[in-house]
Amino acid sequence: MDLATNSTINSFTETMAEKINITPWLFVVLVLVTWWSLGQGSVPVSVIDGLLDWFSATTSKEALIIAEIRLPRTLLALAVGAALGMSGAALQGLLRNPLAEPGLVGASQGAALGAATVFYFGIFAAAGTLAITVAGLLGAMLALLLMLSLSGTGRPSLVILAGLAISTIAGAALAVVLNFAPNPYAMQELVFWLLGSVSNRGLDSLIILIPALLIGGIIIWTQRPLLAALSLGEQVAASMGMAVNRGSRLVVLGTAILVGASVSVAGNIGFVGLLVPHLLRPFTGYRPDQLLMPSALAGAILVCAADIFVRLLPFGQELKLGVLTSLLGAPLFIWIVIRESKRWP
Amino acid sequence: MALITTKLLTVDTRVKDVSVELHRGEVLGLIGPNGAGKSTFLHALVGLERYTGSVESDGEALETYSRTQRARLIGLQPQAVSSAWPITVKDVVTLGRLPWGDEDEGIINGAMQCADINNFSERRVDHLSGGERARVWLARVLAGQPQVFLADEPVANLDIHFQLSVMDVLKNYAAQYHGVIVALHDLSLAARYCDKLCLLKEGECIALGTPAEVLTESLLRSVYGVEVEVDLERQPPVVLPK
Amino acid sequence: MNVNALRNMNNNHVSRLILIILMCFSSLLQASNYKRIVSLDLCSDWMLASYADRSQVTALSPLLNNYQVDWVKGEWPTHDGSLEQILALEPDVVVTGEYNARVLRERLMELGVQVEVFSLPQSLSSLRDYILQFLSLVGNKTKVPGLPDLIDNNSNAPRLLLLGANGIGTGTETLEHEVLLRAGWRNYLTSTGYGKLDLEQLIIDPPDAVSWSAPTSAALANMFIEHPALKKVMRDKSSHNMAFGNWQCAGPWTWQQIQQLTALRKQWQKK
Repeated sequence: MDLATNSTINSFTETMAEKINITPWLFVVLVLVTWWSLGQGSVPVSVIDGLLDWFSATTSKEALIIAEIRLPRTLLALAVGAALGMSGAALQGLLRNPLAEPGLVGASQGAALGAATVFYFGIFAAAGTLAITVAGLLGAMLALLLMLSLSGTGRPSLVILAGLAISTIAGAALAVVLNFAPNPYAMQELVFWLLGSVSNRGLDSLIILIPALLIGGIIIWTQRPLLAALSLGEQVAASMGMAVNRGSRLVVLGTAILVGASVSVAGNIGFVGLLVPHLLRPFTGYRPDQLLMPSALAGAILVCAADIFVRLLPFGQELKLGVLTSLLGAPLFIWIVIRESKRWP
Repeated sequence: MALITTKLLTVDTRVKDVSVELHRGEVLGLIGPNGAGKSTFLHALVGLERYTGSVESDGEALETYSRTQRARLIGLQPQAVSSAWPITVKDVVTLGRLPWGDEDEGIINGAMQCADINNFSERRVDHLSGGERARVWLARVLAGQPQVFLADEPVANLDIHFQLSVMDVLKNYAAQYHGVIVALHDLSLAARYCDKLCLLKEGECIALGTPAEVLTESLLRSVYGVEVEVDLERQPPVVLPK
Repeated sequence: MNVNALRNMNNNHVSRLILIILMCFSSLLQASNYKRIVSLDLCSDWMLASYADRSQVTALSPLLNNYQVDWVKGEWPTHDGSLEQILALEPDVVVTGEYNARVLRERLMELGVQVEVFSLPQSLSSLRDYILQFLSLVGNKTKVPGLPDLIDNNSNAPRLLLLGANGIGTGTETLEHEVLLRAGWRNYLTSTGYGKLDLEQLIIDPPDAVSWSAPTSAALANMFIEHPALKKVMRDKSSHNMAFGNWQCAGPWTWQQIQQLTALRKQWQKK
């Protein structure tokens, strides 16, 4: 009985998935979704006319609607989605844990706490958005470091427990901050911070976000060999010449930048970092280093598509993006937990 | 000039003043009770533990080597390896090329050949038996083409067939002008495959020499605290507790 | 004038005199005796601050300090909203609007405290009556001015958008709507009540002017008002800031609001 033949048949579908190079396809879908998003709105406007007017600095209603309303919203959704997708893949590679994602390890809530505190109390108001983003970054960083010191790269369940503790504390502190904020509407905005939204933003909100995305992404990108080596454990990685401690800190820094910048602008859009790497893993041969770019692209697609869906819903109370991603992500979360409990320890 | 020379290697209280030499073509066995410091010694050589004392390779101090150079020189298969993700066998072996920064197909295939895992190179590691997996971890280290192969209990939890096949791979590798240090519990295997043995007790190397010199009933009694029967004349040699 | 008319005139004079005498007596008997007035809600706070004597007011509600408005001058004592404290203040009358502090005022009534519940005005026509009731409660004899006339046919009037926080606009059948009508505007929004505005719609069909009212401290609620697209499209148009909280209640300040919006209309006309 040829074991090889048997196993080949079993893993046929998996290897089929692997044969497809997913990244170019993701690019194509990304472009399509972007186009669709620019066409979404209550007023029928030609996207091409709007863009051309904007490029040629012609002031027209089309240019205003496309460039100042729809474009920021679209780009914001793409950037935040990419950041969250990549940070989920990075965290999972670093922690060797398929459940790790910014929302579940407390990083998103920490970022929200930092950003909200600076925003509502006008701390460093002169620095404007930069101060808010840096505060979000620090909040995410603190949360991640705290989570690592609590659980390290221990059992997956331990990491999630530590993340739960931190996200609960951060969420409670956030509510306190909003309660004492000078603005009377602050308390209602808890929903934004916890469930996310990309509406009503101008292009200026991207000025910090795009560079943050690039910097955080590049930092994580440099650690691809480490993430690959960590598949076999920290000892093997170190024995192969990886600077495990330094590299881990860089991955944490990169993740904190990505999560901090995203959450400070769009609130916490949960489960993107869980969903996207999980769905793409079979297409990248389960290799953590190959997962980063596809996760970024697919995250962008997911959040942008979710935002299109939000805009298609009947006009009324705007559904927060995080509600949609949670509805998709929570069942997946449950499924992964069930599967993990059956796996070899 | 020895491939590896350690002088008074000390890792806090776990390894004390261990001085050994490893020559090319040699298999050096580390034996001793649990907690004697075998793993710690191997980890120190590869740079995972801080130590005092010196380690030299062909006369050059290892402290002068960069992380990457050290990884290219010395490969380690730690005690309990597992893969966090169900990657293919070939991908595992490819990871072994990380110190060199390439994915040289020829070398990878050669390593898989050595470890006799070519037939299932496209299978996922979680679909393998324990014995098959052990050979995959071996192949990963072989792919890095280290001059020194450190194996920490490579045959634990393997049946006798796989035990022999793993030890054969290590012996062959040493014969190709490399050096192998292997930590073992099974004293019969140690007698059979090792050219030299270092008997560790509580971090100290209390005997260093050929199997005949180290595997004496009195030494083993003093270290393990049990009566041991040693018959090195037999093929294969037998060392068993009485 | 003929004799009958003269007789009628005399009768009118007499009845008016009798009425005045009666009113004097009744006002003497009435609520100007209240010396320890406590208010439970913001609108009543403002009314008391406008019309009552400082010595008559024992405590206003804690909501007073949430808004800085110019018809509340100086420091006024406030309670903390708890039943205990209000009872400890021993008020001779507690004042509140009909939709406010229901549980609290029922408890107070059960405990024997006199509670005056006012119907808050939903339209300008009921505003005068509301003010008159309040005036009689505190024993103030200020005259209540009349309202500017409503312009009959204003379909050519310019359109004003009343914009609040969170992108909420104010439509018809609201007090604010009547205010802007009397200032000579048409409401940009034709839907009733309060509704979420569509930014794209505002770009395609912008109003002639906007009056926005929102808290000045940082909040996401201000994102809509501060949206660059909205700023661009309204760049050349008149805009006016109604201090936050103004629209919360109707009262004598409503006349100021009409004046402000009338001034805005004149500003628009100049452009």
